Amino acid sequence: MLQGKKAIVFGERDDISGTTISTCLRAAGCEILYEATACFV
Amino acid sequence: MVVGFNQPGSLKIMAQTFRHGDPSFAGPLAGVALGLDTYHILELKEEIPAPVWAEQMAIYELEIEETTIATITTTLREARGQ
Repeated sequence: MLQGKKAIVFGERDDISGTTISTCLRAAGCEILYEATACFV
Repeated sequence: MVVGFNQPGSLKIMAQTFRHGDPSFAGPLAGVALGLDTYHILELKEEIPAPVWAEQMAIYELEIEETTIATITTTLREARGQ
Protein backbone atom coordinates (compact mmCIF):
# COMPACT_ATOMS: atom_id res chain seq x y z
CA MET A 1 0.00 0.00 0.00
CA LEU A 2 2.78 2.46 0.89
CA GLN A 3 5.46 1.37 -1.60
CA GLY A 4 6.11 4.24 -4.00
CA LYS A 5 3.63 6.58 -2.33
CA LYS A 6 4.43 10.16 -1.34
CA ALA A 7 3.55 11.47 2.11
CA ILE A 8 3.34 14.69 4.07
CA VAL A 9 4.06 14.10 7.76
CA PHE A 10 2.88 16.12 10.74
CA GLY A 11 4.13 14.91 14.11
CA GLU A 12 3.24 16.18 17.54
CA ARG A 13 5.84 17.16 20.10
CA ASP A 14 3.98 15.51 23.00
CA ASP A 15 2.65 12.51 21.05
CA ILE A 16 4.41 10.90 18.07
CA SER A 17 7.17 12.93 16.43
CA GLY A 18 7.49 13.53 12.72
CA THR A 19 10.91 11.88 12.71
CA THR A 20 9.47 8.66 14.13
CA ILE A 21 6.65 8.60 11.58
CA SER A 22 9.01 9.30 8.69
CA THR A 23 11.37 6.51 9.75
CA CYS A 24 8.47 4.04 9.72
CA LEU A 25 7.13 5.24 6.36
CA ARG A 26 10.54 5.18 4.65
CA ALA A 27 11.03 1.60 5.86
CA ALA A 28 7.78 0.76 4.07
CA GLY A 29 9.01 2.31 0.81
CA CYS A 30 7.24 5.65 1.10
CA GLU A 31 8.78 8.94 -0.03
CA ILE A 32 8.51 11.82 2.48
CA LEU A 33 7.79 15.15 0.77
CA TYR A 34 7.53 17.24 3.93
CA GLU A 35 7.95 16.56 7.62
CA ALA A 36 7.25 18.75 10.62
CA THR A 37 6.83 18.30 14.35
CA ALA A 38 4.81 20.89 16.21
CA CYS A 39 2.88 21.40 19.41
CA PHE A 40 -0.83 21.51 18.58
CA VAL A 41 -2.01 22.10 22.17
CA MET B 1 -1.05 13.07 4.99
CA VAL B 2 0.23 11.01 7.90
CA VAL B 3 -0.12 12.46 11.38
CA GLY B 4 1.03 11.53 14.85
CA PHE B 5 -1.14 13.48 17.24
CA ASN B 6 -3.88 11.89 19.24
CA GLN B 7 -6.64 14.45 19.75
CA PRO B 8 -9.67 13.24 17.74
CA GLY B 9 -11.21 16.73 17.52
CA SER B 10 -8.07 18.25 16.04
CA LEU B 11 -7.62 15.29 13.72
CA LYS B 12 -11.13 15.71 12.35
CA ILE B 13 -10.58 19.38 11.55
CA MET B 14 -7.17 18.71 9.96
CA ALA B 15 -8.49 15.81 7.87
CA GLN B 16 -11.44 17.91 6.65
CA THR B 17 -9.14 20.83 5.85
CA PHE B 18 -6.78 18.79 3.66
CA ARG B 19 -9.61 16.96 1.89
CA HIS B 20 -12.36 19.55 1.51
CA GLY B 21 -10.79 22.86 2.56
CA ASP B 22 -10.80 24.82 5.82
CA PRO B 23 -14.22 24.20 7.48
CA SER B 24 -13.93 27.45 9.46
CA PHE B 25 -13.16 29.51 6.32
CA ALA B 26 -10.56 31.34 8.40
CA GLY B 27 -7.30 30.20 6.84
CA PRO B 28 -5.63 30.13 3.41
CA LEU B 29 -7.22 26.76 2.58
CA ALA B 30 -10.78 28.15 2.86
CA GLY B 31 -12.65 26.80 -0.15
CA VAL B 32 -9.56 24.96 -1.41
CA ALA B 33 -10.24 21.22 -1.68
CA LEU B 34 -6.86 19.48 -1.97
CA GLY B 35 -8.45 16.01 -1.91
CA LEU B 36 -5.73 14.58 0.34
CA ASP B 37 -6.52 11.61 2.59
CA THR B 38 -5.28 11.74 6.19
CA TYR B 39 -4.05 8.69 8.09
CA HIS B 40 -2.80 8.30 11.63
CA ILE B 41 0.46 6.35 11.83
CA LEU B 42 -1.25 3.79 14.09
CA GLU B 43 -3.60 2.92 11.21
CA LEU B 44 -0.60 1.94 9.08
CA LYS B 45 0.94 -0.60 11.47
CA GLU B 46 0.40 -3.51 9.09
CA GLU B 47 2.34 -1.67 6.36
CA ILE B 48 5.45 -0.98 8.45
CA PRO B 49 8.16 -3.68 8.77
CA ALA B 50 7.78 -5.27 12.21
CA PRO B 51 11.35 -4.61 13.46
CA VAL B 52 11.08 -0.92 12.57
CA TRP B 53 7.65 -0.67 14.20
CA ALA B 54 8.95 -2.32 17.37
CA GLU B 55 11.90 0.04 17.58
CA GLN B 56 10.09 3.26 16.71
CA MET B 57 6.44 2.88 17.68
CA ALA B 58 6.01 0.20 20.35
CA ILE B 59 6.37 2.61 23.27
CA TYR B 60 3.85 5.07 21.79
CA GLU B 61 1.40 2.26 21.10
CA LEU B 62 1.53 1.26 24.76
CA GLU B 63 0.89 4.82 25.93
CA ILE B 64 -2.29 5.35 23.93
CA GLU B 65 -5.50 3.85 25.27
CA GLU B 66 -7.37 1.45 23.00
CA THR B 67 -10.52 3.57 23.14
CA THR B 68 -8.52 6.55 21.88
CA ILE B 69 -7.10 4.48 19.03
CA ALA B 70 -10.61 3.34 18.10
CA THR B 71 -11.90 6.92 18.16
CA ILE B 72 -9.00 8.13 16.00
CA THR B 73 -9.54 5.34 13.48
CA THR B 74 -13.30 5.97 13.27
CA THR B 75 -12.83 9.73 12.95
CA LEU B 76 -10.31 9.48 10.12
CA ARG B 77 -12.21 6.78 8.24
CA GLU B 78 -15.30 9.01 8.26
CA ALA B 79 -13.19 11.94 7.08
CA ARG B 80 -11.89 9.82 4.19
CA GLY B 81 -15.42 8.79 3.28
CA GLN B 82 -14.85 5.11 4.07
